[in-house]
Amino acid sequence: MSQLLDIIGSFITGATIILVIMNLNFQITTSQRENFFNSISQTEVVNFASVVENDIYKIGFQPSTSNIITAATSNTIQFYADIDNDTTAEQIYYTIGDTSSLSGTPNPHDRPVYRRVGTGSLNLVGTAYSLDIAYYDSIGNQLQYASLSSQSARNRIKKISFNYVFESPYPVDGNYQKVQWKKSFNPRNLN
Amino acid sequence: MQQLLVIGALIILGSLVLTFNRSTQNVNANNYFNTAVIDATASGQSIIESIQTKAFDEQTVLSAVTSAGDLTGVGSLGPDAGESNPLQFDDIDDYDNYTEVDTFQQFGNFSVSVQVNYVQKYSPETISSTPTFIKKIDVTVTNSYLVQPLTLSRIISY
Repeated sequence: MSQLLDIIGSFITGATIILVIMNLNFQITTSQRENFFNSISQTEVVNFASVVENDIYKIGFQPSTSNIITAATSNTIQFYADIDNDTTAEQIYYTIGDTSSLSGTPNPHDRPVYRRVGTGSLNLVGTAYSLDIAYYDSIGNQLQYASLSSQSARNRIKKISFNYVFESPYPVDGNYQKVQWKKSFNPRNLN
Repeated sequence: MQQLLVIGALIILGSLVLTFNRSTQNVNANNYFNTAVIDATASGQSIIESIQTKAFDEQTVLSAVTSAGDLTGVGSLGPDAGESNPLQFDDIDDYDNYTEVDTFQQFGNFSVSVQVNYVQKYSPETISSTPTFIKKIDVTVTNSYLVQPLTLSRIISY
């Protein structure tokens, strides 16, 4: 009888240890995936921010026209800026694509963000869960998007605010890693 | 004897699990901290961007000043009469002691506070007790996910 109890006891102990080790292994894998995607998310956001900052600060630098911002919507902006310092302003265009453009990733919400310089092709500069661009006049009032269809309204833009949310392309434990970057710019050549 | 060995093995396994959990927590906290720093930096830079579009001093809004003694006195830095919010601020030092809260999706509220001081010409880290042609903006951002407040500084000269 005592031998049977020993066998049952050791079986329960062994099973518990195996479960603990399996759980530990699962946690290690999840944690590694989480850290990996977190690092990717942070890198993606910093890279996107670097590109945007470089362009936005140069808005209106050496333009050949007084109409510096030529398109302004909640997720599209087009403006003149001499980004390569060759005394000729290029037309820079940012826009966000559809979720269907990134159907290859498991994330159903991520969308590509494109940038175009001059008449070149659209280049992917990042992916986004959302990208919201807001525009403000000289006294800090937000300009309504409907009014920004007119060039005279766009010429009143003095401050541009970006609200970019990145979400990792793959889920960890059913959740997508989210990192937000929100920044307001007062380009010198608009002020 | 066998029971003692099993208990010993369980203690070792338990300590391994606890060590791993502690390590995971530290890594997660580090990740949160890094992301919070990105948010805090963007928040601080945004307000510095707004501040530096303003005039250097209330006395230089409409005219030029040639002597530092003509600038706003050290004790008078801060919003001028009739100015209570950034839409009304017209010079840099109006933001002295200004605070605002910036909200982010992931980490909630970031408290932003601004200090503006005159600093010495050849030692811009040293606050001047008299007006100079150089002002230093210190923006401090705090959030529970930041290990310590993040301070960004910008020097503006006239």
